[in-house]
Amino acid sequence: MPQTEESFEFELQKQIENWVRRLKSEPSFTESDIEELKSHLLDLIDQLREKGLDDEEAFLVASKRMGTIPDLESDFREANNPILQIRRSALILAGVLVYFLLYHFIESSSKLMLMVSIYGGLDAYTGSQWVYKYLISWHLIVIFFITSIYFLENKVINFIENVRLKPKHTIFLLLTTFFLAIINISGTPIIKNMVNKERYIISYLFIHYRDFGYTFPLIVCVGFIIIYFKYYKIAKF
Amino acid sequence: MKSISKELIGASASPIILSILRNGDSYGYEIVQKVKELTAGRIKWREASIYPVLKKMENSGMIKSYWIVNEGERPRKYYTILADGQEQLEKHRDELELMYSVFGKLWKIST
Repeated sequence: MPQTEESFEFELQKQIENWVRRLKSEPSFTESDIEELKSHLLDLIDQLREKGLDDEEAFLVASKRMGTIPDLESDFREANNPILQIRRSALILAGVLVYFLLYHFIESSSKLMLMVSIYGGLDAYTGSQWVYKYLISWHLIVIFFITSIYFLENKVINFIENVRLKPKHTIFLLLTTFFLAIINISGTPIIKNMVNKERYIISYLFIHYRDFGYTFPLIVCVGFIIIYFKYYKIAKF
Repeated sequence: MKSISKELIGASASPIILSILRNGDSYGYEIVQKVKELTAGRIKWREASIYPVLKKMENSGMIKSYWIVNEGERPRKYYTILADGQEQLEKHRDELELMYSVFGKLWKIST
């Protein structure tokens, strides 16, 4: 069955979209660069169609004249170097904020959980055991998360490339971290008052949170190093 | 017809772009086409290679870009020359005129 004009046009659109998608998969291009290159490609295609080439020929010639994606990527990587450095730095800073947010979330939520359970009638010792298991389970969650980042390469790269960090996001992260830190810090004297008669519980809790303060950052740092080694070449740091 | 060396094309890219923009704002594709027309095809830039040059020129304050988005038309990023760009262009012009006069004298003597 002969292909209709509509299906040719559809293929051209598809090929253009594929070309744009390949550009978007490279971190060296900004959104503005991609839009500009697409506009140029379309102008070239129009020019070639006016000269009598059909859609497929026009696309092939135009995309060849634009240059290969690796050539384009190499040209733009140098030109966009300051932007890429800023983007990487912003992502790293955001990562640090997310770490502190998670740290304070885990500690503050464990303290809230303990307060609620003691208020609800549970004995403080069982409550402290729950806190211990809760903290351990978060270690396992983080290890699982790091392992999935290590193995799910394509999804991670897609996620990182599509992340668009706006200033309001960083302010939101910072304010949330402050809020959780306040809950975390103010939770300690409240719990001390609640378990005043059972001072050994305070010792247990102190040990749990002290150990958490060492093991959690250790797991995150080791995980970061392992992932950094894996993605070093791909991310072209 | 021999093509011009890459080094010379690279060195002349900035003054060529500034000269084109001095006559009016333009966008990447149009600049490349104008260069082809003016040089009768002797200078052929790889189509997309103009954009990193435009970026560097914009970062150094010689030109500025802005988008024009009209309904039903393709969005285009136009470039306009700034005062620094005008100054650079005058400087390039003086340098090129000096080189032109030096080579002119040398070749007259050699013939």
